[in-house]
Amino acid sequence: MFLNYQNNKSVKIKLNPNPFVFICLLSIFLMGCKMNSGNNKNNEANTDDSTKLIIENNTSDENLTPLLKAFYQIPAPDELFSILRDENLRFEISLLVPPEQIDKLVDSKSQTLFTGIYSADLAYCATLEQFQTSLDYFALVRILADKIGIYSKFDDALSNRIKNNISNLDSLQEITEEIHLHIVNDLVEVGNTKTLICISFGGWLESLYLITNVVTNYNSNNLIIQRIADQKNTIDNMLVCISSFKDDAYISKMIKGLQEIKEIYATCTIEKMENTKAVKTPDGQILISGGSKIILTEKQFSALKTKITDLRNSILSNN
Amino acid sequence: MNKNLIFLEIILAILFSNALPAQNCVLYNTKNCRVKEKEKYRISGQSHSGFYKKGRLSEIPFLAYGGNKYKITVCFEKKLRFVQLKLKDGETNKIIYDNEEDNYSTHKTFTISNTKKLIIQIIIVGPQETNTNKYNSGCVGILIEYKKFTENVFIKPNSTK
Repeated sequence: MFLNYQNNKSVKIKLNPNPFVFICLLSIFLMGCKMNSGNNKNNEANTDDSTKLIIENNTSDENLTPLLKAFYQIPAPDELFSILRDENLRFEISLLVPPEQIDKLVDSKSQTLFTGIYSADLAYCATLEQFQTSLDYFALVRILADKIGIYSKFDDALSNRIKNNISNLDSLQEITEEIHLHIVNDLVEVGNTKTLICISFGGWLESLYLITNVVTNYNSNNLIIQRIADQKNTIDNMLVCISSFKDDAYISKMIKGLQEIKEIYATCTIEKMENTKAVKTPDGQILISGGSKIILTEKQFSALKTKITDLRNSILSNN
Repeated sequence: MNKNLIFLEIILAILFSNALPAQNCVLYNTKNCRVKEKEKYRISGQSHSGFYKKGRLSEIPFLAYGGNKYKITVCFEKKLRFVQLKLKDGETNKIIYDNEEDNYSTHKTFTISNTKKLIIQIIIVGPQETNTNKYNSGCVGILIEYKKFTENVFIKPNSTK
């Protein structure tokens, strides 16, 4: 748009169809609308007692969907395995999924599932201070991550950090935790819940397979047995997560196996202890005691171990 | 690149700038909530980061394993000023801890004898800011850390709740 002066007497305005000009006008108009809308909203807010908490009529949780709420109650493999190191257990390499299995993973669904499975194997290796094997399994996770499009989390800087800290357990575990958090955060952020759930399911199942198979002799007082019993708390959430994709033929096959595991957990008794008590120590900490304890008998443990092993091995043989 | 196209990109960036922070909260917790201290904690995968609005109430459920000591840290963008953090029993919904009584402290440690479902409740408190919405929302990180507790701490406690 420009002003064209003619003869000093009249001013003629010509309209030029330049898109640049159109964008400017549109922008000014839209910005104006936006500012008005913002002011209106703020005015509405200011009509309330704006110095007060605004929670009375607003208890909805818009940040976490029910699916993600269920997901957040499933601890990562390394959290489950932390007890293995405390119990001084021997590392069993034969329990890991063989590295060669990766060659059989041709489609993205199996690659996603095995990203979780190999991640659990990596966490198991790192927890039991198997530094070279950790590096090998990190490489497998990295290959799969590349194939399913989450490679950026496994960049060269991360690989170098692992190599440089190969004999430092704390650093190695810190890095594996970081990888897990990065994957979860990114997939939640972009809304790729299916990939997230699939990776988590693979990791959860492999973790349970490993932890049930490291126990050779049942002892009801064994802390690992208690940790396995505690997974009764996670099975419902895992089923909620995985069942949301039941229309997917690949996933529906796993739901049946998961339901059978749930049925075994359903037979466990829950020992009610005293009511939950929260007490404060002089240094400001809180001690939470009481509640309930899940009891897993030897028979239930054996049935669980068999069912978990069957489901895990069927996944391996079908891929 | 065409000058007009560059201009269009700038204008669109200005127009939609309020939407950008929602996508910048990835790993906010590990980047901002960690405090180096003598006690060595492991990061729980149940930790969470997200984009939160002032006044909204959010709940993050998590499973706390018996025999562990946990540290929960909440961190947030300065403009949000205060975040109320409550820890609730996941079964009874009873409040175990409320940082309002603790001058909105940003962290709390607790030990737990038996595995329990817990809920972390987060509310960004304070007045709605005027003129612009950008002060009414921002990144919040909730970092859950854990370690095994070795001492018998369940002796002669002073009941608070």
